[in-house]
Amino acid sequence: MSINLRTRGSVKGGVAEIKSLIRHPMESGARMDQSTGKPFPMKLITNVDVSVAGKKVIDAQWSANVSANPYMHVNVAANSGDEVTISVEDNTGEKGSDTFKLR
Amino acid sequence: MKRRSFLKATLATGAASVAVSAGLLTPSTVLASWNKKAFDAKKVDEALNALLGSSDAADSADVKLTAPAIAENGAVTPVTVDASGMKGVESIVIVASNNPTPLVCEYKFSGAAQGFVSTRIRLGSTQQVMGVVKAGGKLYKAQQEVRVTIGGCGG
Repeated sequence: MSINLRTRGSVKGGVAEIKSLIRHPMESGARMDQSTGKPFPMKLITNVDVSVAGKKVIDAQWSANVSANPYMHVNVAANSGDEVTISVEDNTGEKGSDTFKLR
Repeated sequence: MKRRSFLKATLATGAASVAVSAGLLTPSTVLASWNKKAFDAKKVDEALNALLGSSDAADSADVKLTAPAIAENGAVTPVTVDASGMKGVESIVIVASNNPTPLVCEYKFSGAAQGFVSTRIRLGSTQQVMGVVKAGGKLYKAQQEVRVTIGGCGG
């Protein structure tokens, strides 16, 4: 299983607005399951990378304070036609990535 | 009353065992580039020191923090930190001062990236939300109080 994410981006005035929606529970490991009395196991996206035109431009680290099914919007100076890759990894080693061309 | 104290006791021991098992079970290789010390810190200053090497941030009008004054649901609070007007932005950090572990996220920028982040965060209670920007080796910040009517950290 890989992490499912959807990204889109468009260039306005030389700046690409890159917006991602990621499907992920962002479970902190501290929340209790009332039916079993045990905590839900930790499952948390820890690292997010954004590359534009083959160069890594943003390197992010997240905690459980980021909402479930995270939304991220970043801006990068780019040209239309540039290829954008967003890749994510969680604490269990599960990965996901999305690559697309800027309009 | 009994029920309440029972719940409290189970929650407390539960949290402790989570901390232990998380430490034992998480392979360190997986989190190689994740600053565990900063993310586990219970205080804002500790987290910033571990992450950026300093917690001495000056208020700046060039850092624009956008967050709702009242968040009906603390589990999804939209927060935007905009430092596009600053030069040489190296990183942006979002901090929720009153959450059990205050550090929310860190974005490091290089090359063509602009100093701008918009995301959605969890807030456990009414508190100050802070955006810290590292630019030219110095720290700048902006903060705002967000009133939370339903918390977003508990189960």
